[in-house]
Amino acid sequence: MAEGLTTDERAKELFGTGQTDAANISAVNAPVKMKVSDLNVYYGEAHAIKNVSIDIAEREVTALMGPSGCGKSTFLRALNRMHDLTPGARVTGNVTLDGENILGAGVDVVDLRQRVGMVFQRANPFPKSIFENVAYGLKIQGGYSAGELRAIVQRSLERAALWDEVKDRLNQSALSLSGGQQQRLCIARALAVEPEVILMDEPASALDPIATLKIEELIEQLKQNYTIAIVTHNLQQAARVSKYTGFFLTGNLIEFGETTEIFSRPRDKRTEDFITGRFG
Amino acid sequence: MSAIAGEGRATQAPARRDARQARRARARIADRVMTGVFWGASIGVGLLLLYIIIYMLGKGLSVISWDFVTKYDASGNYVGAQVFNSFYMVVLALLICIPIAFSAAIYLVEYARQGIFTTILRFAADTLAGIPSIILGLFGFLVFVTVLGTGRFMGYSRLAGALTLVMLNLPLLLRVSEDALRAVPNELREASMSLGANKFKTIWRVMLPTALPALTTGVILTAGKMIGETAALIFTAGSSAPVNGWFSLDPLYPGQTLTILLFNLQAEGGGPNAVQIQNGVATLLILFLLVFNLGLRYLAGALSKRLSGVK
Repeated sequence: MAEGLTTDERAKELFGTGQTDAANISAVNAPVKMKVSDLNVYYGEAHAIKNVSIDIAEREVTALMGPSGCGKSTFLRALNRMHDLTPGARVTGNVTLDGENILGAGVDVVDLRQRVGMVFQRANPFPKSIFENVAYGLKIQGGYSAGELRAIVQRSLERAALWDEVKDRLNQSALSLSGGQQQRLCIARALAVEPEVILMDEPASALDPIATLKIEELIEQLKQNYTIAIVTHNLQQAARVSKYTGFFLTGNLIEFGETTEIFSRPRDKRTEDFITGRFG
Repeated sequence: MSAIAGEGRATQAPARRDARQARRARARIADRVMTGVFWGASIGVGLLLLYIIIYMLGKGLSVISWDFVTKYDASGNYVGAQVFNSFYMVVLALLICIPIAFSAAIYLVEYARQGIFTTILRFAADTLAGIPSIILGLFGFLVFVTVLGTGRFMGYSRLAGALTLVMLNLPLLLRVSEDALRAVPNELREASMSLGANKFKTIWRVMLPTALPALTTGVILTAGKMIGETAALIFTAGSSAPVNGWFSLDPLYPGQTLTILLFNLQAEGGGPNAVQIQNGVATLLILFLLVFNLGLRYLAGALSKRLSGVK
């Protein structure tokens, strides 16, 4: 294989640049929480996401996989409008949450982000105490008593499988925790504001195998109450945790379907090559 | 590469081995020499500073007494008004300077569209920060003392001095604050926004608390420059300090500071005790700076603890 090519170029060399008619392969046979249709994201001139349509099933895990730079994180960040914060980013198309459009100008972004929470690739706790980190989202809303705050912080930490490890040191700095604990703290922080959907952007990519396992077990539990969309470049992780999987390449959605189908009978040659480790 | 690869090979030619050893010996010597230079430089600087401080404390500590600060006597061995003025003017100048600098820094980092306007603003601030203080002192004299002083509104006063200090130090504090805010990782901003915080709450609850230690350093630097400032104050705060009622909080009182007194004693003479008083004043200035900085650090530390909830 030629050296010095980027993943994109290698992918093009291997597969050509064929577009896929994503519209008819993105539907799921389940209640839909978020419906994405004809989504396009641009960074200035660069066209990062091209006409992507996906249904995100309620209380299931949807995995978005693909090689680095394929646009899967960019796609995820469109779902709670984090692109609003990026100068030069432009989003077109349609995204609905429970049937309501969320991309419009009149949408209350603060409310949207409370309903669609996010966990980032690198654990990013605030330089505050463990308690203050989890209580942050509630405190900016205001109106919670000290007792309510304590109860919600405990419940959130329990749901994030962190309570037992930190219950005796809630007043210590969150930065004193290990990397895996910090990531679970960030999950607890997201859970505290009672979101309906949780977006996870490669939440375990910076963690060791044991910490990764804990996060995956946690996702397994969380899906009973929450709709989860997770970006990963780790195939095994996608296969282990998700019900549905979308495969991205150079900004296109190549294939979408039930994870078992994608991994056992991929319809697209490019998907097959990716999951059999020919590239990526 | 080849030297490493060849290591331990028994068949190596002696000439090549010698050359390699010579190279290593040279590198070792260079390393030691440079280590020595760096050591020497830091020890030299440290000793020099230590010498100055010890020398001044040695000369000055014996002069300082409660009476030196509070009691007026005929010989003029009395600096209470100047101590008060120095403190008063630094606090007043900081109270004006900090809100403006922090607000402007927040605007530059969080709100302003980066472009020609912000570039010009930064360039102007950097240039202003380098202007000799006597120039701003004369500017302050012109504006605050002469123009605004017409009809005795301001004249030579603590307020005129403090405003000149603000002009002098605003650029530095602005730039340091801007850097402090810019150093806050973008991930924290995103985390806050993703939890439903708006921009203002993100700035107030995440950006400022996270940047607090660096912001404090900026304020301490600024305060240090303000305490030490002389040239810009001679023509604005004035060279006199009313002995009666020096503890008055009136910003329109003339406000000779410790540094101006030091200058006046040297330039105009101060009687038989001038040198002694200078020693005392210099020592007071050092102690003053020390107490002020420690105080600011303590305040910032306490504030940081409160904001972060860490106990």
